[in-house]
Amino acid sequence: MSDQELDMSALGKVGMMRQKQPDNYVMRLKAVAGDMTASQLACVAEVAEKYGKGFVHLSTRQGIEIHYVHRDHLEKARLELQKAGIEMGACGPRVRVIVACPGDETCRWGVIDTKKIARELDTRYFKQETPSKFKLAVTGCSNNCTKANENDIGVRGAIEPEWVADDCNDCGLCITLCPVNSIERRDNDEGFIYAVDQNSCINCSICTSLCPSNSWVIGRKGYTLFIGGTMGRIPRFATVLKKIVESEDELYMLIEKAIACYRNNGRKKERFGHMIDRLGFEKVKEELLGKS
Amino acid sequence: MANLEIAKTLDVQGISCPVNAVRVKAAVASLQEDELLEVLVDEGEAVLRVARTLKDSGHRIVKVENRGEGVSVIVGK
Repeated sequence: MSDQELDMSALGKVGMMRQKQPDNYVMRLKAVAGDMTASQLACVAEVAEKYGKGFVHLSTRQGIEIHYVHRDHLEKARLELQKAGIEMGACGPRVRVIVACPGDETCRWGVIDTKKIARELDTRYFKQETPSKFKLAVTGCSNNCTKANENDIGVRGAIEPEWVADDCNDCGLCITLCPVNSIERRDNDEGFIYAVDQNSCINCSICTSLCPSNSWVIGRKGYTLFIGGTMGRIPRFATVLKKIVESEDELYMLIEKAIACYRNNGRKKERFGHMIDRLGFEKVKEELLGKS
Repeated sequence: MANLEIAKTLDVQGISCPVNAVRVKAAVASLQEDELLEVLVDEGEAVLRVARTLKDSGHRIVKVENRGEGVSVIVGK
């Protein structure tokens, strides 16, 4: 490996990629959960003006890239960004910037604190090496704005609805609103019951949020954990590893196991989902969750 | 549901959000205490929006019936 090649691979690790234009580089910046302060943005603008061509590119993973930075200016630009608390993103076979929707802090549908989880995952895994690139996303609810199932690991906020008879006025709104027709009304000895099919339920919270008499309540709340999603050349939607993970500790434990499994079994350049297909999902599931 | 006396009907099918929900809210506000309003609304996002507005403003939904192309929502004050 020549010095220049060595240099190139080192730059890739810190989020700088060579452009097709000789000596020009892309600086990929890190914004965990897509968040940046206004003063950080001002710094990005200044650096883009000073060392780039005065524009930025928004990436598909909530990041900002500064293009056309000459290799002689990379280090100066990086240090100016660092002073404003902006770190570089990641390229190559490693854990990429964690993306997240705004979550329950501001969104009425969000059921989990997405940013908190994204920051924790960032602390644990960002830039760590993996057989191929590795993407994690956290999304607050089944609206799936940050596309949990297109990532190697996807975390999606989830609730499990439970019907309580007490105040139900039998209006039937829930049946109409349920996006996957999982709610059914049945007659019984005491009149009627409403029941949800937990297998087809997508855990979205529409029934619990909008029931006029608050007869749908949250039975369990947690995270749906997806593994093995990827877009790219050979797209594969992620598979649900566990529909409701009830605690944050269990969530982190399962993610840790999933990444370890990928490191132990994944071939170089093989995405996690394609490894799962090669080994068989049931086998991977058993390794992560134990025998059911 | 027995003895539903529907005083008024409001058709907001084909009217986009949030105008549909605003019209429903205004119509419910003009109801007498014992009167019911039947709202005809599009399926999907529209009925969700109308239901949310009614819940936020404290009105009661008495009966909902999906008629295939549209949804009938019977509302009380």
